[in-house]
Amino acid sequence: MISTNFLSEMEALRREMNDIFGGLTQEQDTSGAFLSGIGTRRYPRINLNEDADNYYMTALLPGIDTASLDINLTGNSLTLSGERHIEEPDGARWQRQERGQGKFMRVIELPLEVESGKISAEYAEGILQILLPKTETAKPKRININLGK
Amino acid sequence: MNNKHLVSNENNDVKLSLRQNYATPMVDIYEQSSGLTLMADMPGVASNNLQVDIDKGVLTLEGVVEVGLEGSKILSEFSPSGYYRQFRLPENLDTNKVDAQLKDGVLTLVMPKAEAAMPKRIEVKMVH
Repeated sequence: MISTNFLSEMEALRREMNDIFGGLTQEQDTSGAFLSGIGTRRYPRINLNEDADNYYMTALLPGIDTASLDINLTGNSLTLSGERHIEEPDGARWQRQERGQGKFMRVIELPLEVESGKISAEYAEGILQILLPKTETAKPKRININLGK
Repeated sequence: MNNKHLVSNENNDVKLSLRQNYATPMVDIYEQSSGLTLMADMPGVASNNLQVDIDKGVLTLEGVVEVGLEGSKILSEFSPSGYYRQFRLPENLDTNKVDAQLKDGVLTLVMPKAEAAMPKRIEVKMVH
C-alpha cells in the first residue's frame, strides 16, 4: 500500500524543492510538472562529432530564416534556439500539413571546453553546421618518452 | 474537385525497400483555385542531387544528401543519406507546366490545373 501515500509525499517533496530553488516552476500546472513545453521538443535533430581539435555540430533546419536563429554558449552548454514560420497561403485548402512550425530550443552539453570566441556557424541547404574549436587545455596531448641511456 | 483521396494514395514502391536508409520527407500539400502546391522538407539536398519525376500520374521525389561529417560521433540523431517519397496525382493537373524550386532544403512544387476543355463552336459553312 505505497501508492497514494508515496505519491503525495513525492509531490510534497517536489514542492519543497521548488521552494528551495526560488519557485522556478511556479507558473507550471502542478499536474504537468514533468511535461516539456512546446519549445523544448527534440527539434531540430542534431549530430555532434569531434576530432582532436574541434567539435562539429550539424542540425537539420530546413527553411529557416537565419535571422531568427540564436546560438549561445554558456560554460560548456551550447543553446540553439529559433523560430520556424510557414506562411499561410490565401484561400488554400490543406490536404497535408506535416511540416512543423513554431519556436524551438535545444541545449547541448559539450564534453570539454571550447574557444567561445572562435565558434563559427554556416547555413546551407537547410543544414546548420557549427564549428567549435577546442581550447588548448582540452586538446589531447602526446607525451614523448625519452629513452635514458 | 475532389483530390483528397487521389493524393492520399501513396505508392509503396518496390524500389523503396532498396533505399533502406532513406528518409520520408515531411510535406505540406494545399490546393488553390489555380492548382496544387507541394512543399517538402529535404535538408541537405542540393539541386543537382534532386530528382522530381512525374510518370503516369505518379510524382516521385528523390534526393541524395552529400554532407560530409568529420571526426568521430558523440551524438547522432540523424544519418544523412537521402529522401524518397511518391504521390499519385489527380488527373486534372497540367504536368507540363510544373514549376520546382529548391531553397534552404525546402522543395516547392507548383502544379497548375489543366485548362478545362473549352467548349468549341463549330461553324457551319453554307455551300451553294
